Amino acid sequence: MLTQKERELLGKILSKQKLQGLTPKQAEEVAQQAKVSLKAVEYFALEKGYLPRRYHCNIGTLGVCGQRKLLEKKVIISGLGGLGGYVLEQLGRVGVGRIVGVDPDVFEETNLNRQLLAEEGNLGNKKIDEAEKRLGKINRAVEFVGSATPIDKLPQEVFGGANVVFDCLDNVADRMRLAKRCSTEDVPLVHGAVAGWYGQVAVVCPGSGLLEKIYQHHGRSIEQDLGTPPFTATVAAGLMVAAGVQILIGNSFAKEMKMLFFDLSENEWETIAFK
Amino acid sequence: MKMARQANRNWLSLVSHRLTKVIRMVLEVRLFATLRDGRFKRKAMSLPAASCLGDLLKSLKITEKEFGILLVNGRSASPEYTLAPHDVVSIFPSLGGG
Repeated sequence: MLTQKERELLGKILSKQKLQGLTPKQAEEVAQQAKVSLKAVEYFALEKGYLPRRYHCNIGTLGVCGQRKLLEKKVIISGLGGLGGYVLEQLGRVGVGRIVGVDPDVFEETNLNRQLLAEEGNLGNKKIDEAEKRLGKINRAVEFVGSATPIDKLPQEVFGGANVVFDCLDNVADRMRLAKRCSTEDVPLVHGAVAGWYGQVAVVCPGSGLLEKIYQHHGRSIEQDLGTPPFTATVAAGLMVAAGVQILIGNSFAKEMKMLFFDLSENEWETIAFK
Repeated sequence: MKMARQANRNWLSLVSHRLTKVIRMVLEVRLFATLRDGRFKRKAMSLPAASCLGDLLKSLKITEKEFGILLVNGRSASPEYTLAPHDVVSIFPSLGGG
């Protein structure tokens, strides 16, 4: 991430400041002085024991090593709606280094009930543009690339190098296309879907065919009748990000063919195994 | 001789067919999400022996459009799957929203 010269310069600047923990403002100043990216400063600071204060409440859970790993990683969020908005928010705050957001749509009134990035004042704006703005407000160390190209046609230079892909789409046909691309590219896919009080989350290992099994008999999806209330999308997004972070920091990579199904009206959580 | 054997076989298949209608098995059926509406959450159901999952769906009036995931004893199965006594069947609808 940094040349030897940049490392020496950064080391000098950081040691001069006698920092206890690096605030976002200090990180910005250091980045400007050394002419390197904000992410490079945070990455280097973690190595040298100057903990960026923005990650203070992550460290007990992720560790310095896990936090550095997250900064090295690249993820793709396919769909920036009900699930995708919250997934983006959490991945940005937790400190994943590079995020690609893919969505061809603009915000409309029916998004306001649940989509974090939808605001009364930004209806009609592109979702990828609002995603970039949001990340700019919460964590500028994260690099963001937005794309309105359908996921199966996303150029290799944008898709390539992704460590995890998040399926935050809203229809089965697109989900299938995404799963196929992830399988071809050998990238784990974190799947999430919601309808009414109900939701499901699964880690799809490349080549496992898990998503095809989940939607093997799919007829009419029940969100067409029940809609998508905000609480269900938020719960599913949290579960998806937790599963994704587990993969990114190299903890247990659940290779089992399992899916979690939850019912928030009855507080029921079912783990479903597929053969 | 051949004819007698054939007749015997026909008779046997007739008896076994009748028997499967008479002999019944008990299963545990668990329904999820919207499939519970007008039905139940969990119920012990009696079905003719050697019924398949599709027969159970028919008796519950769950159409092909309504179900998404079918499980027998926690493992995914298709409507052609032949059920056995004491199987636990779970039926989920399809979710796709985001």
